[in-house]
Amino acid sequence: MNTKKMVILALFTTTALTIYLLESVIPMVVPVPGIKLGLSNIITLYVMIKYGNKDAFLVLITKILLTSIFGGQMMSLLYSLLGGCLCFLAMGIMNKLLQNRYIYITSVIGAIFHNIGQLIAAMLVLQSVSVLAYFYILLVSGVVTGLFTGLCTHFLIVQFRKIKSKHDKNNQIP
Amino acid sequence: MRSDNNSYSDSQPLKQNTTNNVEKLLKKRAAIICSVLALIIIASGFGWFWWCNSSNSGQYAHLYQYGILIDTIDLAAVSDDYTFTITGTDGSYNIIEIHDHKIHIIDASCPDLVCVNTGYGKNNILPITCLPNSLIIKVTSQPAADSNEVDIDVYTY
Repeated sequence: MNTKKMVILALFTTTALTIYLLESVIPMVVPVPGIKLGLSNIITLYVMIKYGNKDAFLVLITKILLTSIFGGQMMSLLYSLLGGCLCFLAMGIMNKLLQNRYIYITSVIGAIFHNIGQLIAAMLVLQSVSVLAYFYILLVSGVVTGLFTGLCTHFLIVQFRKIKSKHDKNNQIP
Repeated sequence: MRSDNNSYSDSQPLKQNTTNNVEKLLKKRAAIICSVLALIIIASGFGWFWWCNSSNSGQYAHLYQYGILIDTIDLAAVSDDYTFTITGTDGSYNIIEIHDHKIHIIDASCPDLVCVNTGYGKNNILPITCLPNSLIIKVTSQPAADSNEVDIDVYTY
């Protein structure tokens, strides 16, 4: 990995971190704890599509570690780790199958598996199976938020290609 | 120039860069995945709905604060609606109302008001919880409380 790529990935990690910390302030009026928009999946998906699975995994792990240190609660490390890793696995497989097309399907499956991972973490922490009652609403919210982030990523890629083809003759935009 | 784009090591998600056969295969795969997903969602919707409504509606409301049972209310024996307040150690409060043989929280000191938005507690699967104030309201059909209730002592986002 050369320095330029390392710097670019670090900038992506910073962006994901900032997005995550900002969206944790937005309240969601649903009677389920732990539902959030999941906007940092945009960055994970974008890096996965542009740079491949290994670099996306690096960005993801760094982001998870830093958010649990900055967010002030090390307890959330287990939830984020399980959710993020399951999400990454699912998105990696889906992306391989769909060959970087139909991004919204990838992100929907990623969001669903993220929620499943957090549910499993909650079951481990609370040592009871009763949290499975939230499963269905987590499924539906996963579809909705996954669709939203998938469309965001799609438009991001389209706009970057337009800018690149118009303004970047010297190949400077990542 | 458009051709300069291809020299950059970039994956190409736009439609004009995939050939026709590959495009057809991907479209078929996407359709299969979408339909499987929709099937799973609808089926689990029915299953969840059936599971929620098949458990008996509760008659006794058990209130747990900091993991300890503090009160048991027989909802069928309540003739008039009334409200009462549960206060915590650091100034936190939850205002609970019994209305029409049902129990719900109408106001609380917690910042996100998840407990108020939960509405009426109907059965034991989804208890009314106020995690910042460590208050759990379970509605069951047994007059005696469960001995293996969940002690939630950590609240994370």
